[in-house]
Amino acid sequence: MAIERDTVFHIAKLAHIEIDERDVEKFSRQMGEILDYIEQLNEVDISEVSESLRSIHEGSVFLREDEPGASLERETVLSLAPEVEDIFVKVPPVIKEESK
Amino acid sequence: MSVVRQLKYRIQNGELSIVDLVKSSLKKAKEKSNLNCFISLFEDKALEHAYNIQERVKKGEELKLFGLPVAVKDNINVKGSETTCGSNILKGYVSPYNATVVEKLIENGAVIAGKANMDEFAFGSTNETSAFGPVKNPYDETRVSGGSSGGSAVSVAADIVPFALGSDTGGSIRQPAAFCGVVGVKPTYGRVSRYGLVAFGSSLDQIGPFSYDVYGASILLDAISGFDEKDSTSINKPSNFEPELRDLKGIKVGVINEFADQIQSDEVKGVYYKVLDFLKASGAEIVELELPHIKYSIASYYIVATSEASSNLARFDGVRYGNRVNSDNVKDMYFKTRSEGFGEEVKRRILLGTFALSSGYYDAYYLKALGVRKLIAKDFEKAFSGVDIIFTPATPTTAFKLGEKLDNPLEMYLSDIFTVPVNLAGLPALTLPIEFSKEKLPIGMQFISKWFDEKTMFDIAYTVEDYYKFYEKAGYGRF
Repeated sequence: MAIERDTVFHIAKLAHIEIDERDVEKFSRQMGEILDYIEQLNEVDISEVSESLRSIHEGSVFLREDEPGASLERETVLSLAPEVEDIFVKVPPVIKEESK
Repeated sequence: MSVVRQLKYRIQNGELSIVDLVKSSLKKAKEKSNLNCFISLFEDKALEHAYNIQERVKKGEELKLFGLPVAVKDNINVKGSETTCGSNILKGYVSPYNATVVEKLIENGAVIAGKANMDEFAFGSTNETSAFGPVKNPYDETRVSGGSSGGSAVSVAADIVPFALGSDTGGSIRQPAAFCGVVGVKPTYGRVSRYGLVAFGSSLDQIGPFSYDVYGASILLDAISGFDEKDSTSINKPSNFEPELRDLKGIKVGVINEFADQIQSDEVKGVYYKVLDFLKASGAEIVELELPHIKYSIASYYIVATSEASSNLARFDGVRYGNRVNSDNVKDMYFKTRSEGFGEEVKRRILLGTFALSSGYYDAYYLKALGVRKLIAKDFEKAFSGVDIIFTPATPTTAFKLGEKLDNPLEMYLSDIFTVPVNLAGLPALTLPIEFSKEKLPIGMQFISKWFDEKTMFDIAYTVEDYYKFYEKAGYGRF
């Protein structure tokens, strides 16, 4: 079952991806097929597994101490950015100017 | 004697120089450029490095990887070179640091020959989603290499390099290894640091080795594994992986009948039963396993993997690195950068993952998939209480034709049916090439062992390898 066009457009907006009319058709059909396949998970009773979100292997995930250490040089990091001004990464305006 | 061991002895007794080996490797890479397995080749740097290592060896330094060249999948950062992830969105990004595995390669005396082609962001099973074009199977160039680590697999299979690193989220090392006839290993989750690996599905990803043979894969894994404080999932469990021939008498080998039924190619099925007969004849005890939840693996995987991917790939927004498509406001810039930079499969997976995590669907999809995943892991845990190793086919078919599954994502996802459960459970597994089909396409089998028991997997695969000697049929190691 294809998922609705509006849902696809909504999801794309959430993911910051532009899709056109041709794409929406294809994605709604393909995602529908994949989700139909995934429906089978509903046959499974997961009430017995309470700790689903916990790691599945025996290792314990650790958090390092919050101590300052060596990091990349500022110039190195800035040299990677598409646009830079002074010591800042530059982006297009976030807030629109009032139209005059 | 296995190929990598022979190379080791030839280097040690001065028959083969590291510099000549690296030169020959780079020459082969250029001669075989039609296979498209490299995105970048490090000609000058590799040679310079080879001279350095040769000097180190002359001074008596013992290096685990003794100067052998290695291809590194292009989602692993190597300082000073581009990391593309097979995508246009990272155009212009030059890594400012080395991944931990790369530091370890250098420390242990490997020479990095170049960066290997891959499916875009490792999303694919054929290497056809790469923005740099598909990788071709060296045994039949009209066929896929498998993926997502297709370039890594082919760089070894085409006898360009003895070693390659890949990453495996749902089979991305083991499936191309089977399609191309090389050994590929997905280590236990936590065994190898992912620091410097561009994340896809963080609870599933693991870096692992490719090589001509089991010995080669085991020493490469030994060199790259170990605790790293920069990866909070990494685990400190020192091990010696060097394989030894084992008497298979009394070894308990688990088999999954549901898997055997899902082999589509008769020839793959034939090889599966042939190896099973060999194991039986060698005295191994075959145990039929019940894994009631394993049939839900692909369904669970595609929710978990795409959810994590959609979250991980949110960082590619054109702000701090990579390609930016400009606009007059920041929101448009995000949309344009991501829409132009990502290919179709990446978009499809981001959309699927965003959907599964979005309000109203989270419980029904994501939490459900995680619950099922846990049940799959528990099935394995139970199975391993009665067996030493699990033996399965690696893929349902041999390498398929280029373009065959490109328009049918679900069908492509189903080609990973034997490899995906291993990642869901965090287990280690190895693909071993056994023989060629009538069309001269490699056929590989999979060995899965207990968490952190890679040694058993290496030993048993090594023993089976010693009987079939695929590396001889393939003629690897011509340097």
